[in-house]
Amino acid sequence: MLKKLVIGLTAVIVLIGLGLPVDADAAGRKDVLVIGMATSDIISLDPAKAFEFSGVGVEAQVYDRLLDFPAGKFTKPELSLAESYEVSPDGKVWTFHLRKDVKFHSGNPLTADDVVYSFRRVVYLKDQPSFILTQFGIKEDAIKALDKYTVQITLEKKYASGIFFSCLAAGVASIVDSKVVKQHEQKTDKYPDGDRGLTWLTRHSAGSGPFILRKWEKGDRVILDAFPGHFRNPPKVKRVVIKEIVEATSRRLQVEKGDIDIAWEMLPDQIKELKKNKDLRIESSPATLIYYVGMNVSKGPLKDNRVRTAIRHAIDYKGIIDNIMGGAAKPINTFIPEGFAGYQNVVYYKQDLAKAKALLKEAGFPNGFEISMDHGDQPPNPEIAQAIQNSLARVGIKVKLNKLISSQLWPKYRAQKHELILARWGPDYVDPHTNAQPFADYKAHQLCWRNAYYNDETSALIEKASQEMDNDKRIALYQEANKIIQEQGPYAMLFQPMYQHAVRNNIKNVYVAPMFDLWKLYTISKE
Amino acid sequence: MLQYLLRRTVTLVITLLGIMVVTFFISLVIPVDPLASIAGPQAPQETVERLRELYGFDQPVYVQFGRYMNRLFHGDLGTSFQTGRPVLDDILHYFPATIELATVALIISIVVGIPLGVLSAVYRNSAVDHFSRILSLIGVSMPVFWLGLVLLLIFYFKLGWFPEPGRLDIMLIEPPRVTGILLIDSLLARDLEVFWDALKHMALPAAVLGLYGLAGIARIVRSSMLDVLSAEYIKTARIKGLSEFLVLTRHALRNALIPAVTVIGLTYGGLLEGSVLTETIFAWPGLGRYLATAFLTLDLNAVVGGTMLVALAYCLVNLAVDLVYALLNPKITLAEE
Repeated sequence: MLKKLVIGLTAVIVLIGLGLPVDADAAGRKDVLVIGMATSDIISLDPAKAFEFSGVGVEAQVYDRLLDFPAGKFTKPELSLAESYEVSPDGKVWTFHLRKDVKFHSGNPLTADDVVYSFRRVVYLKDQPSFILTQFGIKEDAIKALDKYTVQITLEKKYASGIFFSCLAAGVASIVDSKVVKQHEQKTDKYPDGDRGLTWLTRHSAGSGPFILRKWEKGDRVILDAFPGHFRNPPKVKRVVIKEIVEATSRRLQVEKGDIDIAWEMLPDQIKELKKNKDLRIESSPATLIYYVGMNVSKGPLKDNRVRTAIRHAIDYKGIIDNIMGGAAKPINTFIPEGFAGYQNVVYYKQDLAKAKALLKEAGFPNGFEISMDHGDQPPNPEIAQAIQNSLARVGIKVKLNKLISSQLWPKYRAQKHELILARWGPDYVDPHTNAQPFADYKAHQLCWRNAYYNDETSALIEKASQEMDNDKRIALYQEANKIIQEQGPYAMLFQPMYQHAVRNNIKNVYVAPMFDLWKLYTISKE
Repeated sequence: MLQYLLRRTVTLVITLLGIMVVTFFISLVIPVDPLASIAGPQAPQETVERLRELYGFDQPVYVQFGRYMNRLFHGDLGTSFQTGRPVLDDILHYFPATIELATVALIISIVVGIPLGVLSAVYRNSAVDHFSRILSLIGVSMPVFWLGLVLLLIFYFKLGWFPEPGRLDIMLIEPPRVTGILLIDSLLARDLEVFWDALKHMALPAAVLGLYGLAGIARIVRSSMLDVLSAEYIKTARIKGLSEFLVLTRHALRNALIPAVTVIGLTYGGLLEGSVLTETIFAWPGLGRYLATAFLTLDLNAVVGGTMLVALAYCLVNLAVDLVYALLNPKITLAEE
C-alpha cells in the first residue's frame, strides 16, 4: 500500500515537472516595481500608530496630508490637501481651506469631516506618534469643521508655523476616509469604547494617496497598487512590491540578477562590488540619523565638562567612519542633520590625544579612570563600541562594554542608569525642532534629560524657537543652542550615516530621501 | 490502544499547562521590559507609562497571571504586539510555511539518509562509507547560514538553476488558502504553475535543512545496521538461503530502523520550530523568524503561543514515534508501558 502510494506520488511529481514551462517569468513585470528591503520593523500601517521607519515609509505612500514635502526637497513642506490657510493674530487659531477635487480610494470625496475624524482619532488613541500633534496642546474638541471644506484647529498657545506645518506633513497627520473607517470600528480590550478602526487599519488602508495598500504580510511582503485617480501625483508604475529580504547579501544577489529593481541599504563592502556592475547604479543620500555617545552627567568623572571634552577629543572619528562604516558616513557636530534646514557643515572635534590627556590631567584624572558603556547588539554598534573603547584606552580611560538587546538598553537609558551609552537618534518629523528639543531641552524629558544635563539656557533657547514665526530667526536660535551643546553638553556626536541603495538602470527618477517619511514612490518609473 | 492514546492525551494537557505557567514566570524574571520594544527607543517616558497602563503591565503579578490563564483557558492567545493580529491567526499564517519546508526537508533526509546509512554499514570502510561520513560531517558542522549563502551564490546567482529566495515568484498569485501549504493548495486549485514554482523555490532551503537532518539519520542507521548485521538471526536468515537484498531489507533494516525513528522524530520536531537562519537567508516567511522576533522583542503573547505550539508539535511527534515503534516491531506493545 505504502509502496504504491510513494511510487504514485513520485510519478505525479515527475510528470508535472516535465509538462511545465521551466520559467514563469517576465510577463507583466514591466509595470511592477520590486524593492528588496528589511521591513520587519513594521507593526502597523495605521497612520495613528505607525512609528517605525518602514511602517511610516509605506503609510506615506497611501495617505495624503494637509501639507506635504515635494519629492526630493526636504527643507519646507508645501500645501497639499489644503489649498490655502489663515492664522489668527494671536497665532493660536489656524484655518485650512481644503481642495475640492480630492477623492479617496473608495470614491468618497475628501472633506473637512474626514480631517476632523482623522485628527481626533489620533488624539483619542494616544498611540506612539500622537505626541507629534498633541504637543501643540490639541484636544479632540479643538478640531472643528467650519463647513464641508474648511477646518479649524485651535492650539493652546502660539507655536512657530514652521514646526506646526512640518508636523501636519508628518505621517501621523494623514487623512483617513472616515466613512470607510467607521464601518470597521470595533470594541477591544484596550479600547472598550471602540478602537476607531485601529485594528482594521493595521493591515488595510482607507486613504487618498498615490498608492492603495493591497497586502501586508509581516516577514513576507507589502503590495501597493497604483491609484490612477490621485489628484496630483498618479504613480508611474502599476504596482510596487516591497519584498522582505533581511539579509543584505541576498538583496545584493537579487538586484544583480534583476529579480528585484532596487536593493535597499547596501553595506559599504557590497557597494564596492556593485559599482563594477554596469546594469545598476548606486543612489545615496545622507540619512537623518545621528550616532552619538551619551554621557550621563550625574555619574562620577562625567560631571566635569573637561572630562566630557576630553572624551570628545579622544575618539577616532575618522577611523570609525572609514573602517567600520566603509566611508558611508560623515562627521557631524550639530543636532541638525544634513538634509534639514539649518544644517551647518562644521566639525569641532577631531581625534587629538594630547589635548584629551591635558584636559583629563586638568580635571584631576591624569591616569584616567574606569567607566562602562552600554550599546546595542546589532551591527555596527558593537564594532563602534570597540573602536571607542580602544580610543579611550589611549588616554587612560578603561571602558567596560555592556552589549544589550534593545529591550534592555532603552529602559536603562530612560531610567538614567547608564554611564556612557552608544545610541542613535532619528527625527520624528521633518523639522530641526524634532532634534533640537530632545538634544538640548531637558524639560522635554528626552535625551538631554536622560543624560542628566539640566541646562536652563539651552532649554530657554529651544522654548523661544518653538514660538518664533520667522523661520530664519528660529533656525538661528537652534544653532546658538547647538554651539553650547557641542561645547558643554552630554554628547560626543560621532557621525551621520548614508543611505546607499543599488538601483537597476531601467529604474528612473528615484529620489533617495534622508528619512522614510519623505519617501516618494510615485515618481519612480520603469523602462 | 485507545486507553493508551487517552493516557497520552492527559499527559499532553498537563505538559501544556506546565508550559503555560513556566513561560509566564520566565517572562517575569528576565531583565527585559516588554514595553521598551513596544514603545521604541525614542518615545518619552510618559508614552511608556501610558502604554504600560494600556497593556495592563501596571497591574500586580497575580492579576496579570489570572488574566493570562483565564485568556488561555478560553482559547484566546491574545494579540501580538509586532503584527497587531491575534497570535492564533499569526500561527495559522506562519506555521504552514514551516510545516511545508520541514516536511520536504525531512523527506530529503529520510530518502537520502537511510539508504546512505545502510550502504555505508554494508560496505563498511569503502568509498560509500567515506562519502557518507564526509557528507554527514558537512551536514552537522557546516553553519546553515554559510551553506545557504553558498548554495544561493552557485545555484541561483551563477548557474541560475533555481529561483530567487522567497516562497513564490513575485508575479504569481497565491492560490486560495486552504491549508496554507502552497504545494497542496496549488494542487487543490489545479494551478500547476504555482505548484512548480513553489517546488523550485523550496528546493534550496529544503536541501540545506535536509542535509542537516540526513547527517544524523545516516549515522544512526549505519551504527544500528552494524549491530543488527552481526546478530544471530541475520546469520540464520543467510543460512536459510535468503537473498542478501531480502536479508538486508526485511530482517536487518526493519530492526535497525527503531533507533532511527527516534532520531527522525526529534529531527522533525526541531524542524517544526522553524529555522531562523535558513528562513532569513531564503526569505521564507515561516515560524522561525516570527518566533525569533517575538523572543527578541519580548512579544509575550506570541512567545507563549509559539512555545505552546512547539511543545504540542514535539509531543505529537513523540506520540507518532511511539506508535511507529509498535508498527515496526510487534514485540513492542503499547499497553505494557
